[in-house]
Amino acid sequence: MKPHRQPLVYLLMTLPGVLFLLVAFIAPVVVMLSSSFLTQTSQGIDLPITFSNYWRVIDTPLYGHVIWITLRISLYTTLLALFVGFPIAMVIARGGPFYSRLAIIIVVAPLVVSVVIRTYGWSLLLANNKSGVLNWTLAHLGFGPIATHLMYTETAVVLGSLHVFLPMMVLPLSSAIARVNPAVEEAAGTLGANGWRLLWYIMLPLCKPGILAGASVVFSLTAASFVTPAILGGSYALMLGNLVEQQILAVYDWPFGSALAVVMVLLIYGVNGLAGWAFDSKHLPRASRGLALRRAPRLRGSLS
Amino acid sequence: MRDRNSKGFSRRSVLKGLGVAGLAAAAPTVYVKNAWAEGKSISVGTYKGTQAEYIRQQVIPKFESDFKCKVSQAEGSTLNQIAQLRIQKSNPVFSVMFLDDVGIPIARDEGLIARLDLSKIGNSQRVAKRFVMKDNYAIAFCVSSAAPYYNTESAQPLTSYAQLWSEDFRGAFMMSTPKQTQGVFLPVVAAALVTGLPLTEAQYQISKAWDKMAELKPNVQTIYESNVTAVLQVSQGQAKVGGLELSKVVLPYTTQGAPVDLCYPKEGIFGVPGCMTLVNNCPNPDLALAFMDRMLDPEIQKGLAESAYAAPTVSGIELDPAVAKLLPYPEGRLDEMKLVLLDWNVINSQRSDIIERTNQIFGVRG
Repeated sequence: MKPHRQPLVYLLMTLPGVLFLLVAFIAPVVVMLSSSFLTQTSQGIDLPITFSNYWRVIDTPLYGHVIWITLRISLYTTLLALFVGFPIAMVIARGGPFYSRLAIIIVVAPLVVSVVIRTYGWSLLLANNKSGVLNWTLAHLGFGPIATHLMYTETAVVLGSLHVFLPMMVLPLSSAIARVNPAVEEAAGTLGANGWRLLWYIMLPLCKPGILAGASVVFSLTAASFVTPAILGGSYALMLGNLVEQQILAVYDWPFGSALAVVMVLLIYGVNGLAGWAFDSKHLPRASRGLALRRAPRLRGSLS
Repeated sequence: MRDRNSKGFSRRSVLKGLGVAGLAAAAPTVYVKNAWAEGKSISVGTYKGTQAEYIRQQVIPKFESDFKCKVSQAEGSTLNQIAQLRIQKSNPVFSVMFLDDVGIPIARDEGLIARLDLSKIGNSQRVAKRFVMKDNYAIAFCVSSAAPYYNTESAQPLTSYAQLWSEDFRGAFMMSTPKQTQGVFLPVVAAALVTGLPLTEAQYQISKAWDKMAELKPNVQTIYESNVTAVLQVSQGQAKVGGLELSKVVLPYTTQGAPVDLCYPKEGIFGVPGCMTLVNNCPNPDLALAFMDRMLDPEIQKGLAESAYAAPTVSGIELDPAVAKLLPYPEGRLDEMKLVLLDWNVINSQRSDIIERTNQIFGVRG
């Protein structure tokens, strides 16, 4: 194929995807954005243009509180997913064929079960009564009849979200780990780095793209989730997605529901952008940059 | 000569009899019952739970067989059903939509539903007049009562709504969401307790309910949306009391032996007529009206009442005595059981405020 024809071929190849996104994503987002500046009447959404929906989000303490809960739950879920997911990703990337496949099956298998069913499963595990699996187990270990009251708390939502979104962290992480040259780890080991140093100064910095990708997906999906907080969080762990549903379906206030949805999207993009900027080595303080090489001069010498 | 007034057979009467018998025998070959409906299809939006299951298993298959048609069933609650109608207003998918009486004024005023032609719903003649609603825009097929419910192993039934605020129920009350019809009743109860007015009058004083609702917060474990799940959770001891909830959701579990039952506080309980509406500009409206007629058939009414514990709206149904004592039926028992029917024109105008106030009070722990 002649090189000058390549852009046209690329354009044609991407056209179906672009058209799909235009129809299924960009158009609804434009409608949502414009609705958020309009007014709900008994006949539907209409003029005048107003900022009152956004002012209501800012002015009502409840919505600030819900935004804060949404951020907190998403952040905790992301950090836990990284903490739990990294060792699993290491096994997938470095564990040999048997353990690698086993770990992939364990991580991916829950994806074939509906989120609703999995979340109801968690409600049985965490139930605030003596027949809840966790309480039943703790009771048999001597912790009293009802040792925990986790249902309808933020903790329950974090646990449920972790279960649902863990694969989204593990898969990009394992891919990033697999791209790290094993010779680097061997060199670090040869030069005296113990396991923690290897993890902290070599693997984590080199897996930064995978960590960022996984964290971004887990954070975004958790912040926008609806089913898990609705079932496990109840009224005390309301998240933005639940408020959007409530305003649109129950209250029939599309403009305000749209404003809440816009805030949610901005929040997600904002946090992702901030995280990307913060983790970009150009913006990291000197002390955090190239930790591995600065703190391990012998290793720096061997790799250069 | 034979006496003209004798009651014996005459040649004419014999010939007439033979003619009628012949026509009757030949009828199936020249007339197919309900042939007009053959091959048509409608979508019906029903409620959830046991009642929906009865309709799925007992009503729809027989109706499809009798009319050679197809009926699709989707389950939902009133506000969600209305949301669907709004979305599909220009191109309706549903033909029949079940709505609580709360939703009828909203759906009618927005042009989502059409006036019913009662001449095409033969069984509507048997329905008590108060259940042909809003100028023939809806016809009720069942009446549920709404009341608090409790775990029979860990609590006593409430004799007054005031007991819901007692320390015995700290963190042990599961409250129904005001997004659903039955969730609006608790603010009315709170207004009644604050003002000392009966429930029928307290519904006009909801603005005075909110401080009392805030006092309930320590007792509220959560606000639930899935009523079937909540009833099961209370029966499993997750909480001691729940509600307010519809009898058709709670009683099926009570009669199956689950440790959960309704309470009947002295202040009275609420009534919720479950209505059928015809969607405006819907596909196959005649088939939709025939479906409504089938839902009002005495046999179906009896089956629905005995499986889902919601009172029939059709007169002359002989219910199982064990079921009959639980239901506001016949019509006169509505007053006997102090069943309060709310003025939804007033409540609906405050609905978004009720939801927002509830969020503000119960959306923050502590």
